[in-house]
Amino acid sequence: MAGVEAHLDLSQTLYEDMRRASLESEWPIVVDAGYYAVFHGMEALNALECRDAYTFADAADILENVLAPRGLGAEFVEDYRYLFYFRRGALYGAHVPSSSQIAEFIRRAERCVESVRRLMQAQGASDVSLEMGA
Amino acid sequence: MARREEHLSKANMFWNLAQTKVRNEATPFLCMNLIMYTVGHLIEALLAEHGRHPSSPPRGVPHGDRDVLLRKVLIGNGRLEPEWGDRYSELVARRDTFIDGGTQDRVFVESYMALARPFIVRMQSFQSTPGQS
Repeated sequence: MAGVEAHLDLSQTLYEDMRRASLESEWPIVVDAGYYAVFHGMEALNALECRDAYTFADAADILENVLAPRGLGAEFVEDYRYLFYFRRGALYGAHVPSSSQIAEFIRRAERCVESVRRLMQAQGASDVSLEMGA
Repeated sequence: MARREEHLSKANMFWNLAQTKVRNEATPFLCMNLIMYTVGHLIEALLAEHGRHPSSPPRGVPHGDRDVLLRKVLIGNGRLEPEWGDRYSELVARRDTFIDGGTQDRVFVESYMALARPFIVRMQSFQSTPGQS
């Protein structure tokens, strides 16, 4: 089971891969890197509280029942579902996304990554406070 | 559900990307995925010839059912040699989406490619002659 830093590092690397691939019109990389940048951001938040997702179903359950109420919110849940099923259809299935669909995918992935960063910073700040008060 | 030709088209796309990205030392996690997507589409192209498509658990991915159908349909009827069933299982087992064993590195990707390449070449041999080995 990976720690917070490993998930955050991979999330950041994949986010940069998504941005780079979008400039090179490599849509499969955009989709894969963008989805996993968000997924590993969520796993970093989970690791802060000693949680791990063993499956994508776990990840969705934890998102809806723990992370969303604690700050990621309903819009994040909707975006995550969009990214997850887009990836399945485009990478596993028959679909080939248009440039406007890829642009929408990137917009939602960026919004999710930014939400994770905000919550991570807030969570980190409260952890520091806790340590100082102990 | 994708048809045989769509799976083959995607397999070729992913295989070209996988080889380029491995050669250019791209992020190992992505290289691993591109290799697996190639394998998955090649298996599903063969399954589609037999009218079979793997299902997925809710909110999941089709790796487990793909393994079952590979062994039952493609190996069971003699289309593929039995050893490729274990090869696929090994590729799924080594692929670590949840980074339980730590983030993948260059050494991992090279070993993953070495494991996958013979299987990919074997399945590519069916591309020009559907229904024959």
